[in-house]
Amino acid sequence: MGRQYEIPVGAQHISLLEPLHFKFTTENERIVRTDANVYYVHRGIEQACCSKFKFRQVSFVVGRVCGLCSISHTTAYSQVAEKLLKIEIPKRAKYLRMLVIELDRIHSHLLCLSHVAENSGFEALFMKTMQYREFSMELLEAVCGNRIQYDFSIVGGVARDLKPETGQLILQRLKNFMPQLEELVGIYQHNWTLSLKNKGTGVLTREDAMRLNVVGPFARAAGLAVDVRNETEDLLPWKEVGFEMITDTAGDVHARNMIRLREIGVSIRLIRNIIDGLPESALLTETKAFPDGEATVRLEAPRGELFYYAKGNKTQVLERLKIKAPTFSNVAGMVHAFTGNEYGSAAAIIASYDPCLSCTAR
Amino acid sequence: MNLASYRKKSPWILHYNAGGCNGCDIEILACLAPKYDIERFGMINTGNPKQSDILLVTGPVTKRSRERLVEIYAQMPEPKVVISCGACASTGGVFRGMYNCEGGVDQFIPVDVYVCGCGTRPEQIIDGVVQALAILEKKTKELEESVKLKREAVKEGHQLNRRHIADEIKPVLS
Amino acid sequence: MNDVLIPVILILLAPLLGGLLYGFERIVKARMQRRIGPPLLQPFYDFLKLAGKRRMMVHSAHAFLGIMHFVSLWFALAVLLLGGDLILVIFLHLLSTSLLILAGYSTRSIFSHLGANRAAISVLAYEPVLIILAVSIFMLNGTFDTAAVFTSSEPLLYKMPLAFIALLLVLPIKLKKSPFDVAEAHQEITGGVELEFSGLFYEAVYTAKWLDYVFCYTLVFLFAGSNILLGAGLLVFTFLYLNALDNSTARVSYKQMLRFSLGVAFSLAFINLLINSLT
Ligand code: SF4
Repeated sequence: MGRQYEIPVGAQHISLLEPLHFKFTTENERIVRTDANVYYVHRGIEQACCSKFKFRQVSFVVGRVCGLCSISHTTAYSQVAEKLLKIEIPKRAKYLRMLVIELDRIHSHLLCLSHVAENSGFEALFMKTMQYREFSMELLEAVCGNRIQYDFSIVGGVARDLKPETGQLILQRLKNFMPQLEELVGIYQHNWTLSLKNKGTGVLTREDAMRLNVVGPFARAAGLAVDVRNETEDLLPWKEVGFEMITDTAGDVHARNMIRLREIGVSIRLIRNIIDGLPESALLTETKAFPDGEATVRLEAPRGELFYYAKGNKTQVLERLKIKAPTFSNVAGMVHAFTGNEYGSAAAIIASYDPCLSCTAR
Repeated sequence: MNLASYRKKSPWILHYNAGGCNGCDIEILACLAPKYDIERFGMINTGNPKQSDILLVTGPVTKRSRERLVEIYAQMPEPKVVISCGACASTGGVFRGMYNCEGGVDQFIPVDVYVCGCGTRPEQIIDGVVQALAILEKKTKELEESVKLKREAVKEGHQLNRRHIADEIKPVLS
Repeated sequence: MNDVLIPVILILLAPLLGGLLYGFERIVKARMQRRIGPPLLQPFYDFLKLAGKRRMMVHSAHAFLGIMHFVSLWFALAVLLLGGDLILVIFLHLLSTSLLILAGYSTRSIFSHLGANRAAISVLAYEPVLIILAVSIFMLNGTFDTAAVFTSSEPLLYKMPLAFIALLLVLPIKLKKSPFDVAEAHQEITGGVELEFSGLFYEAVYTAKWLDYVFCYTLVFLFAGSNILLGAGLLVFTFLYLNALDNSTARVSYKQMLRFSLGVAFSLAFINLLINSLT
């Protein structure tokens, strides 16, 4: 038995985007134990949402829970508020919400992939992926008016309409992006040194994934077919626009990369279908009611299942709001999958989980 | 040719998220990418406080991250410049008054440049950094002048008591 | 006269040359990644800036070791260019790296330790190849003096191509380039041994990197003998090769690196040695 070293990673570390603290106990640079400490960014949003803000303002506040999947948060909140108000939103608003969620998924997945490449020491691929990612940012800006905080969904519908030109622009850009996506798939799939680093590292088996209750691409890479888009139909009609489940079996970093790349392909198809089949209707359902009762909503964010619970009491201010972010479910799986890997791969493994700590800690 | 004027061409960046929503962080990352490419200005993301000149902070300072923030700031060698990126780093933004937020980076460390926006655009960040360069240069000068003053006094004064030095100090700048 | 003057000038200009080379390489790298990249003189701007920073050190021995790393590396380069003993050159280079490794171990930071550990492993990976190289040159020329190599009209490349390939395979380890940049590995150990240096003392380590460039390219140049044209060709080829490799690979783990360099590069060099000694 070799000497054990404790290597702290974080709270500030170049391979991390956010303050997150991992303590690896290593033996000959092999990780034997991991401690995670994720609550650096707890801000107290839930409490503020139930005291400081009116329920119509809350959708803008919960967008600031996380910058990467802000649209998922705003949409999930809007849906839960609509359930409390007992209103049905127009079909066009549903389609537009799906459109932005899918665009957001593309940008988030590409960011995660580039981050994996960077942390595997492949700088050129990082640059390439980031360059290809810019198109999704530009599209999001064209659709919503801002590059990251969209504030697109509001209670009762969406805030902006999609102009036909913008729709055409999206289709055009997606067409340009297709060959680039194939190129990326080729590199992530076949680059020899990258596969040395990524194949067989950070493995989470299907049983462990089931036991530790992981969600999102992390679970799908391990072979668990969990995706909220596949399960719920009442709020957003995913199946109608051609959703398709993607799973892999290996459960390692490489499998997660491939899952993300293939999901981008699915997202592109969804976006095309959405724009082609965009129904004409109003954007907003107006109501003077106040939220009442309890409701829950599940939504597939780029990282997995996002869960919202809200309770209203017929006043402007909600009585209780609870957010369960996808990364929160994944933390146990994350810590588990480190064991037995080289410390050198740890950065790439962290990136491949695509952790979003500001979601987790709120 | 004044060699010292080239110094500001090499700002090395350290980035710390003190509890924001990641929005500004990914825009900082986007600055490194080919479209905005801040390496044009000689900037590198070092990730090591001991070798960086500019600290980019995002996010309202949460109670747990404030110590790290001050620690990191203390580890950076002078001259250093702090940029607060985004509305919530500058003032607390939407998080102001939440129970675990302190509201603004400038409550703990001196901030030189405030970049507004939620989230900031990469262009704004680059603009902020370019403004920070001027401040960096000014700070470097100040640092050097203070050194010169001390040397001057020691050179001229034979007796080194405090009163003597205090008398002898003259502005060195011509 | 000339054969002393040129090396001396080269030695004095070595940091300058290395800096230019480094700056140029950063541009090439940026272009390969479809960026504009920093200006050519960027390394010198960094140099000037680092000189003006406040001097902070962990402890005096640490800073001293860093500076000695630079000095001894320059010394090794001088011996190489002046046509000294190749074995001496290799050991001086080893000494300079060891100083840096010692500096890494002398601090308390765990990343610095890890970096020093990995730097030591890299030394283990490339040093045997270099020694075999020196021995093969001895077999061919009957002397360890590099002066004899520089003046010989018959380029070494034709006599020992396998050794050249072996050298190409270990150069990325030495220059800390992907896929073998485990010793630096920014994302894993944030620079390793360099981590604790700052200000003027980091400058020594930073500038030593430039010297390392000159050192490695001189080693490549050795293979051309007195044929300057071939030498220039080799340099350009090596430069392009290193950058292309750097931009198309991810970092491998240090165990894979060790296996690769001792398995492939070392055996290539060794086969070369066998062939040379048999014929
Ligand atoms: S300013 Fe806005 S986008 Fe930036 S970190 Fe704060 S909340 Fe997020």
